[in-house]
Amino acid sequence: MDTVFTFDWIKVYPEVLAGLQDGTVCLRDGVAYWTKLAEKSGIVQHIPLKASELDPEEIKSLASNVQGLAKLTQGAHATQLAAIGLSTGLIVGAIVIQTAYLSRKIDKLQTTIDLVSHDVDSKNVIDFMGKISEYFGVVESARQLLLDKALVSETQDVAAQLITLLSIKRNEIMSLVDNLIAYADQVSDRHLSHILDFINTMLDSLPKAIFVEAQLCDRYGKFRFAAHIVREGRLKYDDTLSSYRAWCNSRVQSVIAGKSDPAALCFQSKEADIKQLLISSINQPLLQDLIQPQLELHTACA
Amino acid sequence: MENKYRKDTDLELLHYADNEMLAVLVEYLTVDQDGEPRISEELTANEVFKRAGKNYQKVWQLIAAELQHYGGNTLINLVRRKGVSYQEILIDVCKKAGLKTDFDAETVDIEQALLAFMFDKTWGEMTEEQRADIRKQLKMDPSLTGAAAISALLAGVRLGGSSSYQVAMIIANSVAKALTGHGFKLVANAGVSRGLGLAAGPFGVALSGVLALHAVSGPAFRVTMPCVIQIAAIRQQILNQSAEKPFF
Repeated sequence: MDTVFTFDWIKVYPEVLAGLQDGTVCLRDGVAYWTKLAEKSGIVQHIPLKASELDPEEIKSLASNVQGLAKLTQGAHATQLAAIGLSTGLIVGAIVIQTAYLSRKIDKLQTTIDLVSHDVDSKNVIDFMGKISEYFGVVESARQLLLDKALVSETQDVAAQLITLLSIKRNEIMSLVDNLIAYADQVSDRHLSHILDFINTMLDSLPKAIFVEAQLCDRYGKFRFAAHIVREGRLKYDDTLSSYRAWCNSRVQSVIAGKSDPAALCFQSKEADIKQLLISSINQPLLQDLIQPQLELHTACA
Repeated sequence: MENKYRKDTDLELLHYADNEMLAVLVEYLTVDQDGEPRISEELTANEVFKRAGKNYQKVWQLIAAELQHYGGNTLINLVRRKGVSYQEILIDVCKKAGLKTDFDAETVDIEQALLAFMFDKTWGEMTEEQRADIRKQLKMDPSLTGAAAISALLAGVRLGGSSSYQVAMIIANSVAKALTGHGFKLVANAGVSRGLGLAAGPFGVALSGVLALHAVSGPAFRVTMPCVIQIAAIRQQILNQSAEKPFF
C-alpha cells in the first residue's frame, strides 16, 4: 500500500471551511491564507494532515477512479469541497506529488519515446523526443524536492534553478506539441499507433507537470508566479487539446468517408485512451485558477 | 474455414456503424428473400460471430469479410479466401445497374452517384401526384417544379450533405422493407424519420419495381446491391452524425 497525506478536514477550523466557500480563504501548498476579500491578512491555518493508505492499483487507475478517491475527503466536507471544485484537485494533487504515480507516467512516456524514436527517421522528431525526456526529468526532480517541506531553507538556490528550467523547457515543448500532432498525419498506421500512445501519455502528463511546477513556486513563496504558470499553462494546454481533438475527429471523418489510410484499426484500439484524455476529470482541476493570498493588509489612504 | 477480411479503407467505417444498421447488412448477407439461410453464407457458423450476439460492432470485420467474399467470383474465393475490395463490388453494382459515372472518383462520391441514380430511377416510375407528395415530404424547393426540382435534389445528393443523408436513408429503408419485410426502427434525426415513412408509400413501391428489374443480374448481385446501398446509407448516416456531434 502507498501512504498519501491528505487534509484532515475534521481538524480544519470552521472559518477556513466557511472562507473556502465564500472566497475569503485560499489554500496554497497546504496552508490556508486570507484572500483580499477578507479584511484580514496572512495565514489562517496550516492544514493538518492525515495518512491514508491507497492501493497502488487504485492510484494507477486514477483517471477513471476519481469518485473512488473522493473517499479520502471525509464525510460532510466532501460535498462542500466538491461544490467549490476543490475536492478532486486536492486529492489528485496530493497523489501526483506524494506517490510514484507521476514517475510511472514518466516511465511510460520514456518507453513510448524510445519506440517512436526507433520508428521515425525525422531528426526534428527525435530532437523533440529528447527535449521531452529532459523536461519530464526536471519535473521529477521538482516533485522529489516537494516531498519534504523541511528542505525549503537549504534548497532556495536549487529551487530557483529548477523553476527557471521548468519554465523554459515547458514553453519549448508546448510550442512543439502541435507540430507533432501535424507530423502524426504523415506516418504509417504502424507508426501512428506509437505516436498516438506518445501524444496521449504526454498530454495526460502535462497538466500534472504544470501542477508540480506551480506547487514548487508556491513552496518557495512565489504565489503570483505560480498563478501565472497555471493560467498560461492551461491556456496553451487547452489549445493543444482542442487541436488534438479536432485532428482525431478529422481522422475519424476520413476513415468514415473511406478517404484515409486504413487507420481505423489503430483508432479503434486507442479510442478509449483518447476519450479518457479528452474528457479527463482530473486534469482540469489541476489547472484551476489559483487565488492569491493576502499576505499583508493594505489600508486605503485618505 | 472462415472468410478472411481483406484490409479495406472503404469498409473501415463499419466499426463506427450502429448495430441496427449492421443488423440489416447481416440479414442481407445471411438470409435470402424467402427468409431462408443463404447456402453459401459462412457468417452465422462463425464462433466469434455467434458469441457477439447482436453486438455486430464487435465483429464488423467478419461482416465486411463476408461481403468481400460475396462480391468476388466464388471459384476464385475458394482459392484465395479473401474476396474482393468494396470498391470493386461497388463499381460492379453500379455498372450492372446501368450507372455511368467517374469510377476513378472517391468511393463516397461513387456511392452518392449511385444513390442519386436510384432515386432518379424510382422517381421515373412514379406518377405526378406521388412526386408532389414526395416533394412535400422532402421539403424540396417549391419554386422548382418538374425536372428542375429533381435535378436540384440529385445535384445535392451527388455533392453530399444533408440531402444525401436523407435520400440515402429513404432508399436504404425502402430496400430493407422490400427485401426483409421490415425497415429501420431507430433513426435519431427527426427530418429523416419523416422521410422514412416514404418507404411504406409510393416510393417504396416504385423502388421495389426498380429492384425487381435488376434481380435478373445474378444471385450474388441480389446480395451485393442491397449491401452497397446499406453501406452507402451507413456512411451518410455517420458522416452526418459526426458533423453534428463529433466523435471525440
